[in-house]
Parts: sequence; structure tokens; C-alpha cells
Amino acid sequence: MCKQSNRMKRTYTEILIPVVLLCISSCVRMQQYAAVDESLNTFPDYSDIIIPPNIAPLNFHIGRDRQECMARFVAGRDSFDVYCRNSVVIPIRKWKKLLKDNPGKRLAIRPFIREASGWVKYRDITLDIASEAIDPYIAYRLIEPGYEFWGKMGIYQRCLETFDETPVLLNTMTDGSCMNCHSFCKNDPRKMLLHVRAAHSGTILNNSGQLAKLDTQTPDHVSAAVYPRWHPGGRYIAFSTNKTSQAFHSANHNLVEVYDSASDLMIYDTETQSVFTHPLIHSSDRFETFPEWSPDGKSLYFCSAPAVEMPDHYDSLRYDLFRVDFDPQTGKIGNRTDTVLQPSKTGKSIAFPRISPDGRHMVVCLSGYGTFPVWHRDNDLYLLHVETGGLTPASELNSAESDSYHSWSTNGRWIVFSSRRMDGLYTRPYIACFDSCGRFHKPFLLPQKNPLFYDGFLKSYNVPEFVSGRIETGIRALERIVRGDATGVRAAKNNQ
Amino acid sequence: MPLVACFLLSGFVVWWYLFLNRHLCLFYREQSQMFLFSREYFWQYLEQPGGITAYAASFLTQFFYYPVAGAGIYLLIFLGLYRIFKQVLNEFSLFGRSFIATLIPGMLFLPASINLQFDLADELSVIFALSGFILLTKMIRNRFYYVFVPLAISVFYILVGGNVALILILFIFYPFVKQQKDAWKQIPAAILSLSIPAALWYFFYLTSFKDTCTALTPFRYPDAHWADGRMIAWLSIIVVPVAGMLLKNVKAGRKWMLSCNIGLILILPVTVLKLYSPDTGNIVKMGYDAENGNWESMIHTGKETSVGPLNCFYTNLALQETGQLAEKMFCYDQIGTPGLILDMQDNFSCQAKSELFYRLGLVNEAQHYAYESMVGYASVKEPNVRNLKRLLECAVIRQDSALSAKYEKILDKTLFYKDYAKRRGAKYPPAIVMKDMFIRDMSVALASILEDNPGNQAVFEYLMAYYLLEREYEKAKSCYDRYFPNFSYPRIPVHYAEFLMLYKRINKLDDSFYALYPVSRDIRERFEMMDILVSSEMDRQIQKALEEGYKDTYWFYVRFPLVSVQTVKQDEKNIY
Repeated sequence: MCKQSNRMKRTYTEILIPVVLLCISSCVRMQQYAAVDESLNTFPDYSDIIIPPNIAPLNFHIGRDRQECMARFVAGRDSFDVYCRNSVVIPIRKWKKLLKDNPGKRLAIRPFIREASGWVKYRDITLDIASEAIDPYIAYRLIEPGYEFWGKMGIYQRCLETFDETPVLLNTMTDGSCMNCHSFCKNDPRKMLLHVRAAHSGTILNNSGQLAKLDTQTPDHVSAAVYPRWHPGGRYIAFSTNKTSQAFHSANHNLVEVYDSASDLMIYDTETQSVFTHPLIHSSDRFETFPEWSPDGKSLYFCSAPAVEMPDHYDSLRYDLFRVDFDPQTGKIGNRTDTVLQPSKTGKSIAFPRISPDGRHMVVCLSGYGTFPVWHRDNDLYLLHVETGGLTPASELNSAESDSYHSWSTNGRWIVFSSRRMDGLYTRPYIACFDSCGRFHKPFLLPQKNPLFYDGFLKSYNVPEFVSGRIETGIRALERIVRGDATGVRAAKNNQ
Repeated sequence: MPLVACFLLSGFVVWWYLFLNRHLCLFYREQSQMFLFSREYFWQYLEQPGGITAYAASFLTQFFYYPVAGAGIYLLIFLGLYRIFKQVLNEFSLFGRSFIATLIPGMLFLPASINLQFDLADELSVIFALSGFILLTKMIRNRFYYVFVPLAISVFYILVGGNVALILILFIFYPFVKQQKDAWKQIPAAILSLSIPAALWYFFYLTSFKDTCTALTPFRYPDAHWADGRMIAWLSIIVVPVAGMLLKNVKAGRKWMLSCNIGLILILPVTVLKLYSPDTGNIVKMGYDAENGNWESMIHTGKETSVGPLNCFYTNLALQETGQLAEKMFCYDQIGTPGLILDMQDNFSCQAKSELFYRLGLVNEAQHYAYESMVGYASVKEPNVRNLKRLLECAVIRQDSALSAKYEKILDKTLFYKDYAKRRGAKYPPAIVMKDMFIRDMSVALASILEDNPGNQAVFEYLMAYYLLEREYEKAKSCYDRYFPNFSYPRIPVHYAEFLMLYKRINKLDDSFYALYPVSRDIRERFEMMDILVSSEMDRQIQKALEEGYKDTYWFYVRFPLVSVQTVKQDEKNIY
């Protein structure tokens, strides 16, 4: 018995030791390497960017298949190595610690690839870790960038500190309805709204946990509420009402034309549950759309263009940026409009004005013509200095494809925008740092656990909005509200 | 005897799928999905009850790429259902001497499967559900019984979705049929079992309550009704045992049972064939042929298919591609412009429209409809190979290299479409040169394209066909006058000549008309004969005479259109 046991032990030892040695030798740690002065074509490209200290690991693909690689992450005195094949998947704890311990410092990623001749070190990928954190969540709609019809879609929230993505509302729960225009009051997850179209249509309002479904269609307006902006005080919500249509280009680089044949603005008062407007923002001879509040809540910005016959003159329609005064105490709209920007004079049209939380800067979309620039390949982001009125292209952010919908972080140091730059069709969220000197830095693609995730993903990220925390409203609660009856809003007298 | 019957019916099943319904059950189903070996793809299936079965079905369906493998898979599923249903009946001690009854559900799934909205998972989930029932019957009634049963039901709910109802119904019946003691105790166990799936629905499956209950059952299809093949097949799982219970006490001799069995063997395939309608399969076949340029086959199939927009559409496309549109269009049933351009009705018609625009060189429109077909309808379960291939082709023609690379990468992840772009070769129809416009009226768009491309015969013929179908005589005449000389027709094509005769008659033109439009004597004589018949005011006889001698003419279409032609108002000029 004892002899047998010894023999077994010996056999195990004879088998195990070589196996263990083999395993060790097969995952040889890099000790010697040759350095080449070449950059590795990684995807996504994370070189020379500035990242927030609370961002999820920036996993990346080394650009080559079936090749063993190693990445050394060095920041300050801290470092760690990641061995992998094809894709560098960073351990989240090590990453978080590295970023947390080294805010304001430079992070170097040293890529090594095991080639036939041995380990080869490529040029460092360097990036800077900012001191200012980014909002922990973004919310977006995932939808196929289709034409007339839609299939499955949903509004999701994604934690930027991890890779967790959870649905806020899905149309698989609401009989296939369309849902869009999710919006937050100063990025507050407890103050949110979204629209539901087709089945169970209405505006779903979450006002500090109080859920309501509103029917915002009134006889005075061309449609129910469309593009929303919450007043910073939280009481009012400015909406555009748009008679929107789509047309499809038969021979154009732009595929789809979304246009308004009528549009106005209205303001919803959450306290009185009524809407009001003013002739300055609601006129039949002009198209008013895309409202935006100043951070102090005393100005309402909006885009406006002279009304033309649509779609016949779709390519001559150009919007300018205007501003009216607003008194948050009384809800009164001022009696004159100020022209803030007139890009129409230089053959451009403005859309989606978004003002920074400090009120000093505004990011806008400029394209050659039209209402909805998201489908325009020439559409770019521009930075407006509110005080001086100076407008400069945000060259660091722009690409040859449409760079459009954008949102400021709560601290104004980060911007997220959607861009079609990867393939010209599917919008992807990009994040960029906006420094205290008022400059944008190179944007980076929203990191995913699988760095090649976007390659196979056939949905677009619509309307990425920063959110300062997790949206806690339960999905079933939202479903119940969507399926319930809508409360009609009262049309108050025009607020002149 | 059972072995022989099984063998014969297996042959019938293979014939059904491999020859009779090859295009619908194999080609269409395989092309309507895109199985990917990726974590994301797997997870998207898990998000619905029965997702694992649906995933397994999707995995198997990709092998339909090889029709023989597809027929083999269907056969295995048929035999699997037979085997498991036999065991269920054995558990109930039913139909011990009528083995054919055990084949009924499997046979009924054959006509169920020729519905475009059928999914392999529908049948596979029934097999798994019946296996679940067998498993439950084996559970020992100990003190954990009321824990194990709900747990098992929950697991099967995750596996087979709404088909868990089959398990529950059989599970409740079972002790009563077996006359077990405490049979009623099964009912609370079954009811208790529903709580976990309900909790799963509330907290895990983010779908509507209805969708969660009906997952993988025929009730999930919006178009399903009680007389639907899918519904009949599904209900047979319950109806056959219930019928067995009712007939259990009927005493029958050996000879009588034998004749019953033989009768069933004969009746079943006949019933299945009765339920068979070739139209959908033929339309799918025409779609397949259109993609592969089998134009003659399309025309042939069109003749064997009931008149409808898709049939007319594909026939006209094939006629145009073979240069016969102007000569033979009205030899086939025409239903107006919806049979030429097609309205958007579902993902299938969108795909068909995409095919037409692709062939005409309208790449943006081809891309538009391929995309619409892929994502615009809830009945489409996922982005599919068929549309993605077309989108890839459009992206290549549009020189959207990044987009085409993306689609290529996705196709590379599939088992059978790796290197599709390379295998396809570099032959792409060129994009037509045209002014940019928003296409709202197809005739306006075709006219504009023709203006830019006066030598494009396909566009010319489509525009002429459009005008002729709409009876827009003036527009047809002016289009003919302007563009016809650009093409090298050896003579005036038959239908154009017929139209010109009609035009001459309507406008009361004299014979100098023939100097400009040399219509053949034969056509002139035929027209004059018809004109006499029409003017004789003997309606019934006119119709009969026209039907006999003029059915293949444009005049017959004008006189007796299958659908009302909407755009042109009737006036004294439009005498026909």
C-alpha cells in the first residue's frame, strides 16, 4: 500500500513538474527586449489624450492578431504589467489605483510585442491624467441609424468608471414605441425627461422621483414637445415643437435629410403644469428650435431661421443663434431678441447650442445648411466665447465625418459628443478634456471592456448626456408610467 | 411497421425541406439571421426567455447554408419530436397501439415551417419542453418536491420560454390520468412554479409581460391565429394526448388498429400537402433567383404563383433583365405600379425593392431599403446576412471604405461568409449618374434619371412600364418620342406598338401616324379587330373574345386591369 502510494507520488511528480515547467515556459515573462522607434497602431487610439482620474480602464487592441504582448503602465512611481494576446485588457483595480494615486501626472503605456526574434518594445503611448473627475455616468439612446422605421431601441446609462451599462427604458417593454430626447436638469439623474412616440406616446417626466406622463400637444403648437432643455432652477423646461419630416438623398454623400417644415418654442412650468410661449420664440414666419438656458437661468438661447418652403429649399435653410431674457421668478420672457451669432451670413447653419456650466463658453454645431446636422458629413463643433462672441472651430474634436451632439460635464472640464468618424454611419461617443485655458484636447472613444466591441456593434449612440449619478428610477416603474394615461398640459396665455 | 413508417415519413420530411420548400425553409431562414461566435451575440439571446433554445436554433440554422445539412437538421428535429412525444404518450399510457399518433405533431410542424415568421426554435423548444415534462414525472415525491418542481419549471422557463405552459398543462393532467393519490397536490406545485418565472420577468427579462409569456410560442407572432399552421402544430401537443384520453376506453381489435394506423399514414402526408401553399416559397425562390441572376427561373416560377405585388415585381424585374419587358410584360398578370416598383410592406418587400434599385444603379436607395429591411421591422430578429451583404455592396459602390470594412469584419465573424467580399469578386454594378433629389414619386425620379442618362435602357423601360401601367398616355408618348430613338431596338417592341395603336385611336389620328411609328401590320389588324369587338357593346362577349385572343396585350390590361389605376382620371379620351 505504502509502496503503491510512493509510486503514485513519484508518477505525479514526474508528470506534474514537467507540466508546470512547460506552463511557465509558455508564459515567459519579458526580461530582454529590443526597442524600435515605431508607434504601434493600437485601437482605439489613446495616445496624447487627457483622461479623467475616474475613467474605466482604456483597454485597447494592439492592431495585430494572435500575437502575445505586454503593456507596462507607468505613472509617477507606480507601474504594473499586463500580459495578454491581441487585446490589452487592464485589471480594473490596478488601473483605478494607478489613476487615483497619480492625478495630474503623465501615464506612459509601454507596449511590448513578442515577435519571432523575441520581445520588441514599441514607442510609448503617453497620456495625461487630469485632476478633475468626469461625471460618473452618461445616458444615451442605442438605435440603428435607420431611415424610416425602427426595430429595437432603448435608452441606457453607462457607468464611466466601469463598463456597466444598464437600460433605463427599452422599447421591447413598450410595444415597440420610439423613445428619444432624454434630458437632465444640470446632469441630475433625479430630474430627467424623455419622449415616447408611436405606441403609448407622451413625455415622461421624472421630477425628483415624481413620475408623470404628459401630453404636451396643445392646439397652439405644431406638435407635441420635442427638443428639451431644463431650466437650471429646475422649475421650467424649454421645448421646441417641430413638424419634422425625413427625406432621403438619391445621390449625395449625406444619406438622410431631417427637416422641419414648422417649429416654435414653448416653456413648460412643472409647478403649474402648463405651457406658455411668446411671439419672439413662436412666430409663423420663422423656425425656432434648439433651446438652451444660460447657467444663471436669465437667458434663453435658441436657433432660428426664416421660414421657407420645405423640403424644396432644404439646402438654403440656415439658422442663426438668438437670445431672449427670461425672469425665473415670474416666468416672463423679455420683449426683444439679441442676435448672438449669424453664421448664415457665411453660409453656415447653427444647431445644438450647449453652454458650459460656468457660462463662459458655448459649443455649437455648424454645417452648410439645414435643421438637423447629425446626418451632415460637413457638420463640425465650434466653440463660442460667450463674452467676446468669438467663434472658433473646435479643431481638436472635429473629423471628416459628422461630429455632433455634445454635452458638458457638471464641472465643465469634459465634453462628450457623438461622432461618425469611425465609419461614416454609426455614431460613437467621444470624450474630450476642456482645460481651464478654454482649449479642447484630443478626444478619445468611450472605452469598452472588449476594445473591438465597436467593430461588430450595429447601433448608434444617440444624444450622449453626462449624468452626475446613477438613474435610480426603476425600469418597471418607467414602463408602468409609459403604459399609463398621459396628463394633458394646460396652455397658459402667451407670456408677454 | 413503425420502422417502415418512420423511414417513409423521414423520406417525406427530407423531400419536403430539400426539394419542396428548399428556398423558404433553408435559404430564407439561413439568410434571415447572422450567427456570430461572440459573447455579445450570446448575451443578446439570454435577454429573452427561451434564449438558450433560440441561440441553439440560431446556431443550427447557420448550417442551412448547405441545403443537405439543413434537411438533415430538420429531419433530426422531426425524429427528436417523434421520440420525445412517444415517450410522453407512454407516460400517459396512451396510443400504445397507434404509433402513428406520435408522429402527428412532427408532421404538423412541416406546414407550420413554411411560414416566413416560423423559427426553428419554435419546434426545438417544444422538444425541450416535452423533455422537461418527462423529467418532472421522474421526480420523487419527497419533502423537497415542492422546491424541486418550481426550480425545475424555472430552469425550463429560461430554456423554452412560454412553452413551459406545455410542461405545466401535461404536468397537471398527469396524476389524474395515472389516477395517482393526491393528484390535486400537483396543482399547487404547478401554480407555485409560476412565481419564479414571474419574478424573472419582473427583475431580469426586460420585455413586456405578453412577450415574456409567449416567448417561443406561436402566440408571439402578431399574425398568428387559431387556424394558423404554427398554432395547429403547437396545440397538437395538447390535443393529441387529450384525444388519447378520450379514446382510451374505446376497445378496438388488432385489424381495426392496423387499418387506423395505415389510414393515418396516408392521411397525414395528404393533410400536410393540403396545408401546403407554394406561393410564399415561390416568392422566396424568386428573391433568391434575383440575387443570383437566374432570370429565366424567376419568370418560370412567376407563372406558377398567384398574382400579387411581389410576383409581378420579380417577374417584371426578370423580364427587364432579359430584355423582354417591352415585349412580354403584359403576357403576365399586371396589377399596376405596385407590381413594378413595390410598396414598403415588410422586411421582405424592402429587400426586394433594394434589389431593384441595386440593379438600376440607385445605390443610395438600394442601401436605404436594405437597411430598412434589416432594422425596420420587429419581426426581424437580428441583423442578417442577406441585408448585410447588400449593405456591404452598396458601401463598396459608394466608396465608403470604412463602412464596407466594418461590414466585412462582421461577415468575417460568421462561419460561412468569411472572406465574402473577396469571394464575391470586384464586379459591382456602377452607381448611376444622377441629380440629387428626394424620391417621392418614382415616375418623376425615373424621368429625371433618364434625362441625365438618356441611353439607360433599363430606366427607359421602367419608366415606360410605369406610364403604361398608370395609363399616362401623354407622358408615355412623350417619353417614347424623346428616348426611344436612343436605343437599338430592331423594331417597335410589341407593347409599345400596342400602346401607340391605342394612342392613335384615342387621339383619332390618321394613318400618316404609321409613317412615324411603323407598327407592324399584324398588330394593326389585331387592334382593329379588337376595336370592333369593343365598339359592339356586347359586354360579356367582348370580354370572352378579349380573354381568348387579347389577354397578352396592353389593350387587355387597359380594358380589364386587375386593380384600379388611380392616377389618371377617366375622361372621354380614355375610351378603354
